[in-house]
Amino acid sequence: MAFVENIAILMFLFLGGALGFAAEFIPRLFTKPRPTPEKLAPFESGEDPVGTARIRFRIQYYIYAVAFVAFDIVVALAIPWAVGWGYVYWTPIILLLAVMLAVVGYYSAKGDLEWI
Amino acid sequence: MIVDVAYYIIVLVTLLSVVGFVVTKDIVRAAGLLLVVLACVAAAFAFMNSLLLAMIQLMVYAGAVIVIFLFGVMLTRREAPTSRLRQLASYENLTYLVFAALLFLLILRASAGLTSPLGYAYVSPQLVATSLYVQLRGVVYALAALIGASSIGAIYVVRKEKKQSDGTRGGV
Amino acid sequence: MNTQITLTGIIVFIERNVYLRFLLVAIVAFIIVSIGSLIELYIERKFWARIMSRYGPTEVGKFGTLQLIADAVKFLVKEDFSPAAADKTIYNLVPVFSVTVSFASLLAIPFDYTVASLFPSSLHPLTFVASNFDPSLLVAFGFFALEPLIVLFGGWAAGGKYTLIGGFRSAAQLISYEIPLVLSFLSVVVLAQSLNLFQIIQTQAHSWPFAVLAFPAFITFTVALLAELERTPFDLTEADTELVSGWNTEYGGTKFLLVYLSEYIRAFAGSAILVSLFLGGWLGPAPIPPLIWLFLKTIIVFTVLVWIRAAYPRVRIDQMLALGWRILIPVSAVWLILTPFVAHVAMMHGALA
Repeated sequence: MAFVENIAILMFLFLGGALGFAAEFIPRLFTKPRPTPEKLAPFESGEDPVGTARIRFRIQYYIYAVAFVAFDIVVALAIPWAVGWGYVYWTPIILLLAVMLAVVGYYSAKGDLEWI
Repeated sequence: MIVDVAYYIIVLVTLLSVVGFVVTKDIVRAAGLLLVVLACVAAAFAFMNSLLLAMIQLMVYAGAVIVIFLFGVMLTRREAPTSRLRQLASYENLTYLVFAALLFLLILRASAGLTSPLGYAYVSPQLVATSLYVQLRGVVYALAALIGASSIGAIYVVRKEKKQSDGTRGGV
Repeated sequence: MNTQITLTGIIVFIERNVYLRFLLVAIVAFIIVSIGSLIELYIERKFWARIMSRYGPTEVGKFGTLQLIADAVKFLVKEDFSPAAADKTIYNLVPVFSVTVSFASLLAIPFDYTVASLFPSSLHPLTFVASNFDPSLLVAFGFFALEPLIVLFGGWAAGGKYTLIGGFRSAAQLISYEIPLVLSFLSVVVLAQSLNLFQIIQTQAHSWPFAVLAFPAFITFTVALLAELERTPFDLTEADTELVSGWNTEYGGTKFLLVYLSEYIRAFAGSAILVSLFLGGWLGPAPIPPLIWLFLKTIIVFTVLVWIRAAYPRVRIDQMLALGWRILIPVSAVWLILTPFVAHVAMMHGALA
């Protein structure tokens, strides 16, 4: 198999990047920024901004991120199986998916996936 | 020819982002630079003619691991005690030293055999399927156990943090 | 006559150089996605305005065609500004990255083949096809999967509370629906035994559409795609009444134009991938050029998405997460394991080649 698909990806990234860059930075040459403190303030429904924007978030988001990383590995391992299911063993993938479902079941039984 | 040039540009970008990752003081920018490094590693896999591996690298490392980094960084944006900060700052020079030594070793190794990335045999998904699910299936069993154990372990850490943060600190 | 010769000369020159060839393919893909996005925008604004009895998009110019031009001019002549609290570098780079990554995911969709097959057969049709390689589906998805990062960095860099909350919600939603999305397209991969989107469509020429053979996967894929494209009922990420406009609240002028454009490119690419995976891509019964078939199907799928967007209320965040983790992941995982048996039965009865 050839190497050409990488060149295609390269060209798509190049064209997309070039167009995006041009679209963002060329109009800047023609507009003159007239900043005022109100204009540069973050939008908070017309009120004066209170405190820092970089607020703390609840730990709940972290659970989803942890589960996502673990399951993403399962899914990534399932990709080769989906191509070659006709001539490979099935037990590893069944075990992987079963572990994933068991983790989902455990999390939801213990209420960790609950959004409170 | 152009492919070689592109490859070395990517190597250069990787090295510069690694340096930036170590040097930068802003932790979110550091995560951004790490994203560039991981995406460049994916590009290197693509140059070595294994697009499947490149895309899995992009999906799992660039797509998922950086998300967990960012969530972690943004969730725990609390002030560390100053004594702890001072202690960490004393390690800073040591970090730079270790990093410089590793970079030097890498460059030494690369200059010994700077070859073109071209010429690697194409790795088809079918080939990966056979090696993963026939020859190396023991590794997959081990991985399944590891994923289960780490998911259960992670939830205990999160629960502990949740109990601590209840009532004392807010969150959106 | 003279121009004819030079045109052929140019084509031959481009054909010999692999870089120019794929640059041409990329330009063609860009033209197609631009037309597609314009049609999408037109349909969305007009259809939406009709359903919700709003004026504007249906009234400006003949049939409301001038509304888009009015919007575009407004975006382009707007003053460029960066909020004082923003991380300027990341803030300015996020729209460019967003549009680049979204555009790169178009690579796998065989629009180039359908365009090439319009030309006389003296030109070998597959010379100008960039989408026919092995893990092309994964390439599209790999770039698709970078969106949570763009959203998180964009929301953080803009330096507003609404943008950061919107970014976090977007990222939580996108990562929750990524797993079922992959698991459901993998059951199509099981049926076609290939990661090549081109080959998946060709397999459907000799079999039932995969929307029938993998019906549960079709449903889970559509729901997960709706969530990945952040459209109602899953548009919590830009819930107008709560978060103003979500993570892109602080983006204005051309930066917003790019963010908006990349959203529509993603919608177009997502619809086209759904069409190629489940609805037979460029295949169709009548002797209409494949390009028209693929484009028409994509636009119809998009219109259905708009319809859902206009007709359904927004779900709550807990409902959205519960649907993703407790229903879609188990259903798509179980269906993935069952698909080989379905494939076996379908092969015996001639429903799958």
